[in-house]
Amino acid sequence: MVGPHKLISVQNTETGYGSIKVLNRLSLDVQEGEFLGILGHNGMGKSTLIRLIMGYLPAWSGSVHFRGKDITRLSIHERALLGLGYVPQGRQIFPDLTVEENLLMGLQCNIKSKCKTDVDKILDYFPRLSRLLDRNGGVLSGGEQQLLALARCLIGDPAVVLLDEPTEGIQPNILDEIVDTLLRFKKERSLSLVLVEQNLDFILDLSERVVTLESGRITGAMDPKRLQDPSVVQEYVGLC
Amino acid sequence: MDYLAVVAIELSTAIATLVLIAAGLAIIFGMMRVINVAHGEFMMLGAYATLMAYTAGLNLWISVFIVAPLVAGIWGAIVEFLLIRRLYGRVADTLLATWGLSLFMIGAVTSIFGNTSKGIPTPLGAVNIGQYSISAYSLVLVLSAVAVLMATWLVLNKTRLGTVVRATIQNPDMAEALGVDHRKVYSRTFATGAAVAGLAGGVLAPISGVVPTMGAAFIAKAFITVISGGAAIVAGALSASVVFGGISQAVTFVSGAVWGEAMVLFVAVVILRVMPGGFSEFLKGKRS
Repeated sequence: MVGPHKLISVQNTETGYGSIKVLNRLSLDVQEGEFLGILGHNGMGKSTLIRLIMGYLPAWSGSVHFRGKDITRLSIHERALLGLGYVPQGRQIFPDLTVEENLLMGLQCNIKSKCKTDVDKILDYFPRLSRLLDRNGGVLSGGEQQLLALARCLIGDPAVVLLDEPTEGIQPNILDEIVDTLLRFKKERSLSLVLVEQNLDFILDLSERVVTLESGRITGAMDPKRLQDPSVVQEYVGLC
Repeated sequence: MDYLAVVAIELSTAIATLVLIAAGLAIIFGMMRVINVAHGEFMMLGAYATLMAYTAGLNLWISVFIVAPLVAGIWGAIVEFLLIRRLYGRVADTLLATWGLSLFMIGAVTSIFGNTSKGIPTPLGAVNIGQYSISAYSLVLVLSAVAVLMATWLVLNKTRLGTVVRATIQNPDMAEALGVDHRKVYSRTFATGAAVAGLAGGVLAPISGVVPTMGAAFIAKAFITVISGGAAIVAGALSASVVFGGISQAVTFVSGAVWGEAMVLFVAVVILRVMPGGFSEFLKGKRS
């Protein structure tokens, strides 16, 4: 039975690519309003877990629940419409759409004035994008694309953002902006976050709880403050 | 002076005809990358739908502008659901499947309506320009082509639907994560392309005659125009139509229709050799 306070509940789930199993009877709960960090070596199944929750990979066994509703068999767009937001690794900006059009893609609205209001609102959180609205997404820098990918996700007001390796190749000042914006969203809109990341400072800045993933299983949970202790990091993820 | 006016009208008609022939394929192949060898047969279906509706007593303009695109669009949605949906991204398979579809459609229409050419009277009569006389229906062709291009451009660039279609075709997985049912978008885009092809068939029916194998006359021109047009659907198809329509008509005036067609092929090969991205590459270069 899934409790009402649980936002996402993954239970005894297995999945993988072709015949190769990546997640091995994995179970994980994410609470409403929680910022959860997932740590682990490359190849341990962090991105696979995110892709399973979002519906890109089918669950071979077990189940995925969202706010108590079984979403194991739902398609990706059905999960998105329920309130699951996804910012993938590599950002996946639509390169031939302008920044404004990329943002509009995150909105389920057909009324022009409402769309414009929502775009204006999100630009309040991402002022750097304001002067880029007419540019094509493909010509932005990596950092600007990352901001755009996050803004495109947040503009639809999701309940949770599944954020996959957002710091890859991004300059530090933009990372600070991302941290500040996500914390502001948490405070103002009760956003939840599932963050897969190798950058320990970034995880430390955002996560209230960190779980470690090894060989397709959750192997432990810790207070993120313990990440400041190199021996702990070495023990759990061998990143030092 | 009269002669120049007649030449200009003939030229516009040739360009408009190419635009109409290519527009549906520009959506299905240019945007969706589905090699639809049955494009000519979707046009043929539009022509037959017009013929049937007109013969049954319906107003000619309703038959051309409503019945033809409607029938071809519905058939396009069925074909997408039964056949194309399983083949996205599989170029050779799509080519073979749509070739099969083309043969099926020709066979089915032949067995129902017979293999004889049927005609629809060309409406509006003739217009005299000085000592020359031209068909007033040319104006309908030109206006239809302008309307199709403008509508396609407006929908793609000025509506949310257009943004969703362009985004989904660029990256269907990401569009899904933003709440878009990419299958529905693909299905509707294909049906729209089929409807535009049907409309072209309907518009051209009064001047081309209606016969089950009529699609063969259009398919090569449509592919040449769309491939040479390149990635920019509207601007590419328009510029390719202007260049090829102009060349075809000019050479036809001087040396006859066969040389006109041959010269279009020759120029298309040269253009694609020099600019593999087609006219869109040239237009993009101009802008930047």
